[in-house]
Amino acid sequence: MTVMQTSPPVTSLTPALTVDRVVWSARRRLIIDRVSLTVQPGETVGLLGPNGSGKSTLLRVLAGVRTPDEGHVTLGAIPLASMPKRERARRLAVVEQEVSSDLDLLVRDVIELGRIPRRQPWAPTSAHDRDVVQRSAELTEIADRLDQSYLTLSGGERQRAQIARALAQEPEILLLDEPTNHLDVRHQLSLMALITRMPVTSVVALHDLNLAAAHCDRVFVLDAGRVVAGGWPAEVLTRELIGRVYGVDAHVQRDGDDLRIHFRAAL
Amino acid sequence: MTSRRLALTRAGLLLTAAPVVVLLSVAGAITVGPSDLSTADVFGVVGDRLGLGPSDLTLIQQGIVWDLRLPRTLLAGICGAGLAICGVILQSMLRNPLADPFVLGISSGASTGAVSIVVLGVGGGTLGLSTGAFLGALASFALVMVLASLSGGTTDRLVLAGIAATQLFSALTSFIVFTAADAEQTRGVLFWLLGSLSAASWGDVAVCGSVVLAGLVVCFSTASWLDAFAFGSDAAATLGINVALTRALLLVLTALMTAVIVSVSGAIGFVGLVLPHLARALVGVGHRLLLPTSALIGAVFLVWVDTAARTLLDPQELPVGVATALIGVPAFALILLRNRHR
Repeated sequence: MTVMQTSPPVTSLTPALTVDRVVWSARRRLIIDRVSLTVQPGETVGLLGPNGSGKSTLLRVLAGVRTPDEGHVTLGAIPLASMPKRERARRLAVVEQEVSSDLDLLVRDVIELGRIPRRQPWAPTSAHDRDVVQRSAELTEIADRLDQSYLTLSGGERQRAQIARALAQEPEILLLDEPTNHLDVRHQLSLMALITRMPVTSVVALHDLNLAAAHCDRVFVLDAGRVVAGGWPAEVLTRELIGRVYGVDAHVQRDGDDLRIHFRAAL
Repeated sequence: MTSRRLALTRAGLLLTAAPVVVLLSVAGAITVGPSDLSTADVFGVVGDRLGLGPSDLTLIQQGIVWDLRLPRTLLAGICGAGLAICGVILQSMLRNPLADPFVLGISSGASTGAVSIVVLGVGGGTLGLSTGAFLGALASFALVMVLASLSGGTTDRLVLAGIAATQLFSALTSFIVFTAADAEQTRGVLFWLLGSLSAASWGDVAVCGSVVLAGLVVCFSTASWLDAFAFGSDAAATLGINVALTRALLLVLTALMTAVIVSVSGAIGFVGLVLPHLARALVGVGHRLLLPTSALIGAVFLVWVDTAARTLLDPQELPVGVATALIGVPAFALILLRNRHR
């Protein structure tokens, strides 16, 4: 196991996740352009940016599903690239945006998929597996739907089932790609509350700046594959930045820790 | 809770009862046939061969049981189990409910191989029909894999490449039969193309049985890798599955199993396409239960359909591929209708 030379001095807390000058391109188009960021244990970090800014791709790189052309992703002290796939899936769980299956799975089946990296492929479901599934379902408030078909769930319930599946992997880090997409306001709020409440480090790609401001400890703003700003939501999400990155005239109202953004018009 | 428990109990019952049903099916099927042999006679022969005391039948009668009915029935069970398993794997991995062992072009490649041997005399008599079929199947599969990987390697490309290969090899088969075969050969080839177990031998049982058994062991031991593909290959990758390796391993395995099965039985449709759906309706989508259930259902199904195919129209014999569809489709329609509210 090689420790990266760039690992931080022993005095500081080891970050849960370190992204160091990562580059990724598809068909010679640069999608992720020298992105660096760190995520501290227990934090909820928002990835913001307009459509096509590279949020989803960056999440895929963090998940290890896409291999960066340059740069490194480090999980704790271990480079992601040198980590066995199963080991990676035990430390890092991903909730993708709108996944679908043609199979008629029960909610329980879906959540139990999260146990795959934690048991041998031929082993039967153990009592411990069932316990973890039950606890994950309770945490995401989907336990009353366990024996229902996944296909019959609403959008918000499906998201919660997928998060429960991710939790069943018992990960240190959770990566979520626009989990509030297509949810109504109530479900958006309860889902974000759930994500911040959960006892894991989370990295969440988000569209809604107000949700990000209300629920994320820190945010990073991506524009054309680059990180253009990062830090506390209140210090990052300024009128100037929103205008520059999103092309929107916004009114930003600050009330202590509370941040409210009103969008007025496209610039 | 109740539906889950019901499904589990049903699965438990099925997995305990089904091997017994398979055994009874084989035992039952070998007592049926055009020759005038009583049940006691038939088991007398089996007992004789297993060293349990001599049978008083003539050698020809003993041969009918031991060298015709028994290997044929066993082969039917093996082919049924193997085809059903291949269907489960392909449907799960390609995420396509219409995938079956023939979607990879394997069966039409096999038919071209077989026809080349029988009609064109490729190999100068040194190669048998089943060897030709096996080689043709592998050639076709190789073509599909090359085509699919050159065009991007995604599963939809694989299915498209399979369809292209199927068309190509079917056309080649027809071309050879049309231009070179005499009436006798055409009839023989046609019978094989429609699926037939009438040439079953103990050798076939040994070869086919060991390949299918090995395939079953590998599939069962990777069952939850297949589960991981429920939400696609990216989702499988985030669950720690080596997607490329799993896909390659299972595709080659299904190709090999299908090639061996097709080379002894011809193209028996329906089993690989439909029985996995029936098994899912019974035990759900988890592969640790689905795979053994499909194998058992496939074995029982093909044993009885083949028995029907060789006896119902006596003295004529119906190609088993025709019988699987004639018997299977109405049965499947019933299941579809019963489950329409699920």
